[in-house]
Amino acid sequence: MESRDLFEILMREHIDSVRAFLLGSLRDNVAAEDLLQETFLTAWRILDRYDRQLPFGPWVRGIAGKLLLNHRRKLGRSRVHFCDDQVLSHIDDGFREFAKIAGDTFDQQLDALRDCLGRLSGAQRESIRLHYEHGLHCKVIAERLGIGFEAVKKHLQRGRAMLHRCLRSKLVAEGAA
Amino acid sequence: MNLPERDSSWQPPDAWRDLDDTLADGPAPATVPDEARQWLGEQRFVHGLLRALHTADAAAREARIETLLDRIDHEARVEPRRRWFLVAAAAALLATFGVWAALPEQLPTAEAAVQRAVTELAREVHRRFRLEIVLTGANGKDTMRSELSLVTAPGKRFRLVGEFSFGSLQLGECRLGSDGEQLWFLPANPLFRGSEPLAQREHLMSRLGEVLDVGYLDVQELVKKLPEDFDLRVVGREVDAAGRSLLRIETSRPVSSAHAHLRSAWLLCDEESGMITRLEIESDLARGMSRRLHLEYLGEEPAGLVDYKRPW
Repeated sequence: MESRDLFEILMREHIDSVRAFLLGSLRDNVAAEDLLQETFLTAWRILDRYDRQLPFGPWVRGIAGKLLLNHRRKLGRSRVHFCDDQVLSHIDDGFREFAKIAGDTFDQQLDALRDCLGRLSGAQRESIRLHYEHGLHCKVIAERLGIGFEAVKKHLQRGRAMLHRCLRSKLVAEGAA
Repeated sequence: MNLPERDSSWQPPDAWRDLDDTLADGPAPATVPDEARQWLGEQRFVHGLLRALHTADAAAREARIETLLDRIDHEARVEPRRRWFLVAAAAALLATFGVWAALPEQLPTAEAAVQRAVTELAREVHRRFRLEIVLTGANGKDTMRSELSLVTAPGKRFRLVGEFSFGSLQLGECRLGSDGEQLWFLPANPLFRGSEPLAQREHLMSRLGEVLDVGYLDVQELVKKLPEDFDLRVVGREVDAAGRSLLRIETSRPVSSAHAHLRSAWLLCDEESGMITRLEIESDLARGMSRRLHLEYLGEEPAGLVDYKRPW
């Protein structure tokens, strides 16, 4: 198989997870799109360094992580969330495990997250819905729900922790963990 | 998810919650304690999944894959030709500048260096800069500091993205751009968005007070006017971290009293490409305040990815 054809297959398989990886660390969707393009172009340019015996996802996320650190160094802390090698490694661990969840595509694997969202408590689910689906700031959510700003932050953080636990339990149930 | 299992009743210490900058407007923390990193990584993993879930768009996905494949195919076609071009260009440069390069003690004039930068900036490419703006009060303390991302192209096209804040007042992420004809402004609250012809920009820019002069965003014009605004001189050569030789150009006073508000400026030019790599301008404002603008060149942007048009 030609390198270019192989790369297209790998790119189609992993582009969504790399995008999610970048969205976890960048505030700006446009910047995430830019870095996503740069990540796969860099991967293409150095494809000869990729060991085909190893999974492609961690390799290409490793490139994305290096670009993120470089981006943070250039643009400063207001544009990129806190990251260093250790935090990026923890984030990558999440994506490595998520890749084991049943599903042929990343979108099908996201069904597990959709299911976990349905199991959250009312306040956590509502806070997450307003923040991620409607793009509302914590202050606006606080006003809308009639609770404090800190309470919204706690709902969001606890909701995310619950989702993380729920995904892990699904992996255990599937015997993939 | 393969990390140590925690009891479901476990809660992070309150101090860690503030380290999670996905929910705050301010800059990310400079560092975090080792013991908080796992929790932070888990939060960010789920944060990324949730953002991906709510921005999934099959058409956009296919478009980004097509763009990437186009770029890969384009590189594959251009690369062999580029190698020959580089050899030919290197030979031409050697023939043209060989004598000058053999005289390392001799510095080009500031005007010549600026003219090279202006010529380089006139090329039809999109360039990304980091723009830092610092406003200092009469008491010498910084009253505002913003880091912004600026992309520019010839023809008065630019696009600026970043968060503005004045002391404790946070304006959130604002976007400001020009397609060469229309100047537009899109703050975090879209109710206050606006646009008007670039030639009549005063009204729109008055919303940003003294933070920004749109003239600073047209980098080509800004560099072109430097010799008109300042007495410039090359003060020496520097080598940056990448090993590039840079000319340092400085000034200490404006050319005429008409530009008395301009206090000083300095810039660095890459001797090989002619491109400016850094530019800083300090100016005096009303009520004893001053403003410092620092531009850092980050590189070229791929063509076709930057849209300067009004986003609504």
